[in-house]
Amino acid sequence: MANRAVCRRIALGMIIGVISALAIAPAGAGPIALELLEPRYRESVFEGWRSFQTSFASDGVACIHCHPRHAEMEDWAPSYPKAAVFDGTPYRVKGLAEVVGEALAIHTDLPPNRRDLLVGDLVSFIAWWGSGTAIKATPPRSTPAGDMALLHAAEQRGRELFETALECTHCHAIRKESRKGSPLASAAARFPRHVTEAGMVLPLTGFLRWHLKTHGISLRDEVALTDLAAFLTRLSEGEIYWPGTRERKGAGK
Amino acid sequence: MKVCRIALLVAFLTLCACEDKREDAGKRKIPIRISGRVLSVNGDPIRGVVALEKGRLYSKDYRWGGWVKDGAFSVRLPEEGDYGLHVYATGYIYHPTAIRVEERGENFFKFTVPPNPAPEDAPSLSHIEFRKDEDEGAVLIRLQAKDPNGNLSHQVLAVNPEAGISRMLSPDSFIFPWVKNYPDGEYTATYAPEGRPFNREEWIFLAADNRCYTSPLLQYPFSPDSIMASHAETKDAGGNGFGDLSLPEQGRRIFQDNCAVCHHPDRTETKIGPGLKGLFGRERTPVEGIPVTDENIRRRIENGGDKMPPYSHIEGERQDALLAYLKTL
Repeated sequence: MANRAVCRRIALGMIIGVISALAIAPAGAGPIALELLEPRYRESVFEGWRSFQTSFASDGVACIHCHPRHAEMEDWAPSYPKAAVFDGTPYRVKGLAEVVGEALAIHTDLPPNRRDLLVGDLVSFIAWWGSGTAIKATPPRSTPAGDMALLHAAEQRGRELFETALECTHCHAIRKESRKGSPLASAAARFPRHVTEAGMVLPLTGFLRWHLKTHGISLRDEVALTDLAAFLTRLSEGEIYWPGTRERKGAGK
Repeated sequence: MKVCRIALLVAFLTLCACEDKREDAGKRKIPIRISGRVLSVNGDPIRGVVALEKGRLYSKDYRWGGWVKDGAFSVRLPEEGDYGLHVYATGYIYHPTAIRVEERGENFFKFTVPPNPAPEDAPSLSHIEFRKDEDEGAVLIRLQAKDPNGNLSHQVLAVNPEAGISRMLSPDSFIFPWVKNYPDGEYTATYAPEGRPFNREEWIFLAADNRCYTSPLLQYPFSPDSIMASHAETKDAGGNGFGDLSLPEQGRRIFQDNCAVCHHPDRTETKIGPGLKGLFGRERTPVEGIPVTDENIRRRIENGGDKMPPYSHIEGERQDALLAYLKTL
């Protein structure tokens, strides 16, 4: 009788462990279950999902028409910032939000202010599809040498901004084991997320702009913000991408 | 002393010359072949062409090209480096990718291209002519290009897959480098065969606009009847296409791609949306509480609902297939 009770407890513990492990979603197991997302980020994901499948163009075409397999988006968010170019746009390192904005400019008939309203939620949706995979700050081998060089230069400029121009090291450590301030080793893997103090869901570059402003620094240059984001993403290389969360969850590197 | 200085200078200059030669030897260009697969979203092999730019994507320096036949392409390039690779097929949007080609690399690239969702908005070409300059040996290629929305891109191209080349045609008027929308009208390019006999039947002509819509690919005799089809006419490519599957099996795949993230097909419990097991055996839908009819389910799929995004892109036969699958649950 006692043995049966023990067996039942062990079995129950194993079942709970398996369910928890599935809920935490180890790397590569697909996006985080929607019910596990922070509620306001989840709302942003739903809005982005709706926009992704709605046409804002006179030809009736929506994002889903040319990107019909959601699973293809798994690699997108965790690989930004990176060098990206559309025909007629600048060839440089860009964050996902900037690329989505350029895509909307090309493929919709919306004016700039309306496009801007869609970008945040679309980024939330795309980022959610990349959740559970590892941050890929190093592009694949088939990436052009020119793109690699641009990314490397952006990361270097970002580091200089972090350490020298903006003096972030006063409050933030780079390495996890440092005792100073809050370590940023996995910060980039948590965005976009709802920022309580800002009252909205922000991508990494948007958060940096807001965060610097709270410290009296007005940095509107998109290139500089992207450089900073590139440096922070390099620090998070290999971390499991878990947007919409503040704390690190699941297996790390 | 003076002789020694002169000798030293000569030796130094000789050394510099030798170093240049060694560098040149190190930079000797070794031809490389790249290859790849191009499939439709349903996994069917595509027929079309590829065109490659030298350097970064959208450098507008189109030089090389090749066939995409039975979903496969293979193009010879002069050296390793960065290239912009474009895939074109009639009825499909064009697919641009920045690639790095390595001398000892695998150099294999795989693409999936979706169909053009707005064929009536694609650009078109007409009046394709060739004029030989007997003295120079060059051939002037001329055509008319137009786009119904005025957003023609720089990609008005002539591709000769047999010769492995591609060329960009230019408009008559001057175009600033930053201009995105190219004008409708006449486009020309001069092609120097360089010893290879000129054969108009080898050429494929196409245009793409700034929304990625591709014109029909035109091959000789360049009439509306000579549009290059994007799929093989026979099924010698092998394998079962999506269209060969039963309707419910097609629907199952559509369900997996679009619906399964929120709906269980094999139970009634809620995932994000309600489980759909036995849906068509119920009187009313689980959330709205409206009668379960084909019309109501189709409307739900097209328009979405409170938390459900619209799926108006699942239409026509694909919607029929999805409904056929839902009825098996």
